[in-house]
Amino acid sequence: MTDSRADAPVLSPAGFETVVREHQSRVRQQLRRLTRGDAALADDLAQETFIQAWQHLAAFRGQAQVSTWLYRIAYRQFLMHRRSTPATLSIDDDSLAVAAEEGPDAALQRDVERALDRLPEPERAALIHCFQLDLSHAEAAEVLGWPLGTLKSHVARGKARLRVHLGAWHPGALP
Amino acid sequence: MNDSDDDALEALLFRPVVVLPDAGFTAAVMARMQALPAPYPPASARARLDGLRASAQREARLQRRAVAGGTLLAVLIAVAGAPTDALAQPGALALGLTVTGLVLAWSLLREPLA
Repeated sequence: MTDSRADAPVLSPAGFETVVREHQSRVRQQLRRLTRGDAALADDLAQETFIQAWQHLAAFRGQAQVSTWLYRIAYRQFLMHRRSTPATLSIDDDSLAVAAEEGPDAALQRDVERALDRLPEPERAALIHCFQLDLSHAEAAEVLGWPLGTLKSHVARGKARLRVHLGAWHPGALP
Repeated sequence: MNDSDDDALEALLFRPVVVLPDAGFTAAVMARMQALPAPYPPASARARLDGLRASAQREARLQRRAVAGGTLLAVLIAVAGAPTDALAQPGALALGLTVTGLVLAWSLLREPLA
């Protein structure tokens, strides 16, 4: 199976293994972003994502790209996990200290991550999918299960809030 | 905030984290997957398949009845149009009835192959 709308899903373990190999990086990257860098949790959720995908493979009708379909399952897995463990995840301060030693670029990046962390979840999810995973607005809306207009307003609000959180930063300050 | 500031903010956000493919991850997923039952077509697909099969059977049954009806009609026309002395030949009527009976039996009783 390739990442194409025309190709039908392959209902065989060998075919699905190719899907796992081809798409695992992106799904794990998405979940690492959503879990704020918790690699172990992200990989657990990614495994669950592929198991769910395998169990519902016959329901995939090729109307979306395989990657979008997998992102959507992964996002649902993340939401289910968050509901079952309401404690908020946050970036630990040790990594902030390391980032500060790495230089202004890493420190700025850490500030951005921290500012993202402070956003309401829908805005954070919208920005992650649109900018960090580089999906189009339409694809991000499909993954998140929102109407396109809702996605766009979350993106706009998220960006406005980020600017407030990054108050001291201005474009000229970029290294 | 102007467009260039907006672009700069988006550039700041766009810092992709590359997660390299991990063979161990694939193996772990495949191991879990092998322990699960194979996925089957959804119920709607199965129902559609059953419907198609039933429809094909109905069509085959109608075709066989049409053949039987046609044969019977042909025999009746032949009998009605045949000269009386030909029908009086020994075995003529019996042969005709036997052939008709065999065709009818094949048409009405034989189960469809598919």
